[in-house]
Amino acid sequence: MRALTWHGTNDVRVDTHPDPEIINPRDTIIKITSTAICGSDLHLYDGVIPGMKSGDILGHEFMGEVVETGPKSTLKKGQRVVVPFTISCGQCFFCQHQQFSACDNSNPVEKQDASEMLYGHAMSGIFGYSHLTGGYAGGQAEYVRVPFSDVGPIVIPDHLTDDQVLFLSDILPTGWMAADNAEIQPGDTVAVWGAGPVGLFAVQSAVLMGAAQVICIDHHPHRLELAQKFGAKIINFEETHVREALMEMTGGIGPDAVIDAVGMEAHGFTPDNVIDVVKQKIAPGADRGHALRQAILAVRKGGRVSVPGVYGGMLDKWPLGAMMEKGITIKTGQTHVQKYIKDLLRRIEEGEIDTTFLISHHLSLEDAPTGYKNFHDKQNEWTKVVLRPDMAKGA
Amino acid sequence: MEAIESIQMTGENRSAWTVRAPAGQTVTLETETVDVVEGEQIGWRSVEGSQIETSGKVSFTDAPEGRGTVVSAEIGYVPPAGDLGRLVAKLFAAEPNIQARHELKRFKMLMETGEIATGSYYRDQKDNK
Repeated sequence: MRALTWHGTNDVRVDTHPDPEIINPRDTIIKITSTAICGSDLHLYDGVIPGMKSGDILGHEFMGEVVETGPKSTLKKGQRVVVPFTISCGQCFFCQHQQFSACDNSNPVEKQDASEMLYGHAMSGIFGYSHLTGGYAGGQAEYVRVPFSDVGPIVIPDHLTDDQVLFLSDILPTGWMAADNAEIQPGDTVAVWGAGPVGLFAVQSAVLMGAAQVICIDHHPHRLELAQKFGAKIINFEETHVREALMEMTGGIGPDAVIDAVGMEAHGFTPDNVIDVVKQKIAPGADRGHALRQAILAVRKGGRVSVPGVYGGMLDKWPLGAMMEKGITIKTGQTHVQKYIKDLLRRIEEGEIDTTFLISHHLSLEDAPTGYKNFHDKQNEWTKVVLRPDMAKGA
Repeated sequence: MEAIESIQMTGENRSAWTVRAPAGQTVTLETETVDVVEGEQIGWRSVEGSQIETSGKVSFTDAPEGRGTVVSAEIGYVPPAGDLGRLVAKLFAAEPNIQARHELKRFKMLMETGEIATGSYYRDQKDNK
């Protein structure tokens, strides 16, 4: 099969690999019909996530048709499914508590040592996202092996298109969980850092959850326009002093909840960020946390900080004093996709949520490297890239 | 258990083990179960004629607040002398406690999910470590 393959920093290519096979009883094989490039794939592209190997197949946002099933799979050949990016067994302590992204049993044993040493406990398995999370081949390919297929994949009714449902795999539930973690109350102001896909879905979710005012912060004018379409107010951090603006917009108390949808590669020409950029260039494992620091200083006393943005390593200049003295609550984590996916599919079916606005480009799988380059370099216009294996190269 | 090539029951409480050692060698031993406490513990020791002298036990206790079962393993061994001894030492020298932990985690996976997770995507994939 053909698959988008990581070879090193800023080096991804479409190569030929063996076709996937059923290995464990609960596996299925999916023939990919649509797969997206995620903002977190750009962290891999930039080489800031440890545990990558040349030859790894990327991709954790994908959907397709079931073409083969293991004896314990509950899926049937021919079904269309969206697959959550987190791999979850459904039976361990964490899955039983709906904390699917903390699954104990999906990261192969020999891969668990690294994250156990880094984080104190082993991470769960994730498709196409380094050997820290299992070294699973991802879905930016013609076919993919899906373990625990009786727990993760959700069957999609025929009348919904791929573009309508593909983002159930990651970024829609991630934006939704970000807003859920912000514990929004009526009358609240919610500020969202980052108008990327997750930030935009967090904006949309916060509006649906009843926030009185949602404010989105970014520096890409087109992406800020998209946020505006959902009723968000916007702050361009290159033109406006963010914390001053937020104070003015909240009667001087600050936002009730803040969401960091930026993560470990924050932008901004500030002293803390310049130091972080240098450290990250020297070695993977150093995070750039400018957006999160700003969010913690901006949130009101007693407020909530929700962090869907991806971090992988260590961060210093951490405003711990601000957290403690202001009495802040922080909630974060990889998304518990399986917890939210059914409800979000219903909201899509009922027309409450539209995700198609985000897609700026459809490319063939063969053109995936072009997609990575442009999604990375032209963030203002390339808001989301969907790859389709059935499209011809250059189409 | 990755190093084990085969296990065969040779009697009511006896089994013959063939264990892969480095350099394409194998080590054979026969064990009998001892100190068995129904629902709590299974012990074993090697019988005469085995190439490794080994004994140990696996015990099962309730985790606090009904959170499942704690499985502990104690594994002791005396490697034989000579070339074979050096091979066996090599087999276990790679952090025996980590190897034991890995085996216990695989056992937990098998008990909880019915399978052992692998990141490989085709059966003969060798490079996914």
